[in-house]
Amino acid sequence: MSLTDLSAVELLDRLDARHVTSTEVVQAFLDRIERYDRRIGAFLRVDREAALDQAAAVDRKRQAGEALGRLGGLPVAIKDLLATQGEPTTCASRMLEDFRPPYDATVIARLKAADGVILGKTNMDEFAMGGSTENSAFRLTRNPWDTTRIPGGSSGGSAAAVAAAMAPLSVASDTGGSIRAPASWCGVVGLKPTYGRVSRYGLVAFASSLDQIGPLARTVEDAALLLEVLAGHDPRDSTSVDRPVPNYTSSVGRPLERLRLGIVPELFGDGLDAEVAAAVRVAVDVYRSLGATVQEVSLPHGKYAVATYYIIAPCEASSNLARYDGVHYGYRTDAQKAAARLEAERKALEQAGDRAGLDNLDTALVRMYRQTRSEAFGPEVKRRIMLGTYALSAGYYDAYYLKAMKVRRLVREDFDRAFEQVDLIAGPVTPMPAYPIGEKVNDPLAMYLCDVYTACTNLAGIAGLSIPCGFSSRGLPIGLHLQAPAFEEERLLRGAAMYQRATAWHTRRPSLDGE
Amino acid sequence: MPISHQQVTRVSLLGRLLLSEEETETMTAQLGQILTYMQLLDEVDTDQVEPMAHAVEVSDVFRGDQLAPSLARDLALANAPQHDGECYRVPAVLGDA
Amino acid sequence: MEFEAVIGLEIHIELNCPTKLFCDCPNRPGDEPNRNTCPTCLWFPGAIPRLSQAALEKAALLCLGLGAEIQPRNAFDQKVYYYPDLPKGYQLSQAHLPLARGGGIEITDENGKLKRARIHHVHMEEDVARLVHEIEGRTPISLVDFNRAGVPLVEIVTEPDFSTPHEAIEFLKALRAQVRYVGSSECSMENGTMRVDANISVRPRGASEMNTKVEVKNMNSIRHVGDAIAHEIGRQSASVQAGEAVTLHTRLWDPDKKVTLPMRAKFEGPCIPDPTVPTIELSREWIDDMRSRLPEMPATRAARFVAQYGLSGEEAAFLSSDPDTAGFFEALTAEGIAPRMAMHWLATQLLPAIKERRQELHNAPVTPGRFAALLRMLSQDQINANAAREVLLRLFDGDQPPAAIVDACGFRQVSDPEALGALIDKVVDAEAAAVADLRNGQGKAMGFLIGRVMQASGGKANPKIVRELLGKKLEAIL
Repeated sequence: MSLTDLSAVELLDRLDARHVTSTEVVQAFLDRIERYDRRIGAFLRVDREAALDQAAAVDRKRQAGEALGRLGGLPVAIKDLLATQGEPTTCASRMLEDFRPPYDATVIARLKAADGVILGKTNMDEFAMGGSTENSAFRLTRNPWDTTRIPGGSSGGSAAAVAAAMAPLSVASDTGGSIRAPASWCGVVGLKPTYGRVSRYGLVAFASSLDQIGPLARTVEDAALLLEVLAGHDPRDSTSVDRPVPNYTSSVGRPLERLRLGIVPELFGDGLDAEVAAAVRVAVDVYRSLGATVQEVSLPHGKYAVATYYIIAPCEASSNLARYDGVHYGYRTDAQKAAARLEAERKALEQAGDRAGLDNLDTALVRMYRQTRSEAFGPEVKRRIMLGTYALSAGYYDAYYLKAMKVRRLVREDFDRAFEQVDLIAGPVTPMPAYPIGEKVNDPLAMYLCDVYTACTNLAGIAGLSIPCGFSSRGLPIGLHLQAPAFEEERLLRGAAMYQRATAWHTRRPSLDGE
Repeated sequence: MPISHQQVTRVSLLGRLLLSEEETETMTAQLGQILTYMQLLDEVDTDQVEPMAHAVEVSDVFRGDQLAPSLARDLALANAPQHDGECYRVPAVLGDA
Repeated sequence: MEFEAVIGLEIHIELNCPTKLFCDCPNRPGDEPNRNTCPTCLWFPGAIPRLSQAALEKAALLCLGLGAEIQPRNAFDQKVYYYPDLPKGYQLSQAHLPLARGGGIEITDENGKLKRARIHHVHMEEDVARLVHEIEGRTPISLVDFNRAGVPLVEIVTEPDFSTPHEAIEFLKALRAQVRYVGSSECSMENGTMRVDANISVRPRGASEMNTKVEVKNMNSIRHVGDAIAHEIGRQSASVQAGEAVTLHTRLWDPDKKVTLPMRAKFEGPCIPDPTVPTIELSREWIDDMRSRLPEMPATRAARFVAQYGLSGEEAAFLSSDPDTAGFFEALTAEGIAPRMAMHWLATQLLPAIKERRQELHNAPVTPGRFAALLRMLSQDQINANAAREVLLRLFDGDQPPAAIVDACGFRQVSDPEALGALIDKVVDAEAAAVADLRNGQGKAMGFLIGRVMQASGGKANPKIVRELLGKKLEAIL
């Protein structure tokens, strides 16, 4: 059995028992990246030397008998929107292609303090906007289970890396399903914590009231381990909550007695692929067999989640991305070319005697901004900026943004009511298994509709997780979505783990070329 | 038609984007489709509902105002597209807005 | 047609807290460029704002000092617009739920009538970076210094209660005094800690509808504000008279040409609640506690000065217009100097001297103690007024006690009747023509004779004694 076949917890046992060194572990994953990532495309950057140096440093500490952090030399892949000091943090965008933050995100600092080894930065949809990772400016990531298909997004690189055993753990982000959807399409475990559970300091913001950082791993226990390291109050993030972090790893093994599991019948409608529906129902039956009671609960505003999310998120994004103007960091257009083009336009307008056109012609500064942003942002980012800017413009604010914020509260209240009757809510993660590359990239609405089951979790600010629960007839992974009330990650993990212990879906591996 | 060609052009200026003719065409169609879908929200009665601007009900989070070292200037300028060692350089903004 | 003006003011005030509004960088915009920045105030990707408690307290005190009502719930919004002085493309401000509403200041109009200038609201916001414009070769460029980005500001928005430049000026002076008293800001237009924009419209005299207003910016002193408003009223009136419509736009005051010139409008973007700065909930207790920290405010102090020191209303108002001045005055009286003398010498001698040297009262070498010692010598006739003025100038050069300077310069007045008597005799003997003039009823000759005695004494003679003795002598011989 290869080291890369082991879970993070298993690796940690071997590391602690000194059966293996961190250097050997990291080397094994680096070799696997070397072998497979040309085809899969999960990583944007791997710094072999730096990773091995970090591993060697941990090994030295262990040799010297020093106390080690919780991750004890385990390698972790990082989604490229978390600031890593001195290293490029690109968000898969030309806008930040050369950007090196002078500081570490809080979660990165915690990873390092826990003696995690950073393997590299993973691919994603540009600025976390997208559901397939096809919107990366730099490369395509393929689903390891079928490389003609998307791995999901926006954390596609992280999910593919873990699925293909190129990393045992990954840290990523979820704004409307960006951890859970790729996790379900790649057959791994992905968790979005409650908003405020993990510090967002150093997370490049997409939608500040929805973004949350979370773990991706092959098992629930591994996710629990990583969450324990990431979670906790941070004075540098005013939205992080000052609540103690439970010992997720020690409680995860305890099943939930008398678990009340809720399912939402409205979700099992026309839009849901039959095989996904079937797999989820089977999973619910597994819970019954474990002693859970299953009831129907209603989330009446669930069907408005996509519309609500796709107003709020682009609105917040349009202001979060206003900082990318080429002034003090990031890409800037060639000012001379911009000026020359502007001059040509001016001449043309003068010749045509177009006074109005001349009055409205961009100034040099405005043109620099427009050209910088247009050259450096991809189409999906532009679309969302346009959508957000439009929705917030004069006359539309009430109809769109204000309205969406109100519906958001109703979505939250739906969950509050539902959780009075049940402990966890189960359902599908995505309406279908992974679709072919290119199928939806030019059909934004179709892509947005894939978030129908996951966006509500972010709107309500509660916790959600995806765990493998089956495969389609084409051999594509299907995920089970579990949602828990705010700050009940412990319950969520215990509930997921009890399912995992009763099933083997999570043990299947994609067969990669040449394997 | 939920959004017109002209509106798309106007919004592109507000959002500091520059769209080609082709992009404007595509954007108009796509945004139109999306905005039509958004009309779904008109079904929801939100008369008595408070908007939810914050994801978590936290209030009064303050910083203790301890002076902390600033970023070394060269580090701050390191990511600047253009600078002169002291300040960031941009095309003139005289009389510009 | 006769026009009247409707004027409203927007005043930005830089708070004097040690750190910036949303990060721990020093609040020192004047330092070397870009030395006081961090990933947060540069708004690097991943930055999150953290609100300063000190800024909230100083802002609240300022609001209470103006009689405004603190709002128990207030919050920050994102005002989006694109400009190089705004590092994240939006400014954190309080557009929907400001810190305080209402309040105002009593001013007197040109006719001496009391009038209340009302405040609409006061809100907190962060300052923007500084832009410096240069030419490189033949290309104009702008340089951005982010030291000022993130500095805590309050913005005071008044109701359009002003009808004349005079009223606006009165208000600004009173506002400045109140803000300095509260101690929340240096509040000086000269160093940028106070900035004023004016919104001006005109209408036919006696009308009640308000017309389109024009915003005027770039006025660098309170006097400029008055000049700019006066000019703009004239310009708009002429415009309307000529049948032109006034459009909503912004103009810049040109202090050299003394005109307002149109400026290209800023694109005002949307304004949405900021999801990262948590709402501020202020309890009744907190607000009361802040209120208890207010010092004695200018109007109250002026009234007390009239009652306690017998000063005139004008004198009291002048002294209490600045907390340092008022404090200095009271320190002098505490040292036993008569209030009128203290006021006179402070206002006509010390303050101008300090201003000339571009110093401030609180950091000038002339302390209340040293100044009082000088004034005491004057009141005791040990020196005369001229000498006192001379000594005052020398007080700036070191920290010698005034008595030592007086002695070193030989300024001690001669009041000894014998010594003076001898001088007077000499002068009377020498100036027979003047004495003859006096005999012929020309009173001016008296002053001439006194002057001669002063000269003969090298300026040291006590003029009062000289006058007395000379009078007696002349009486005897005339």
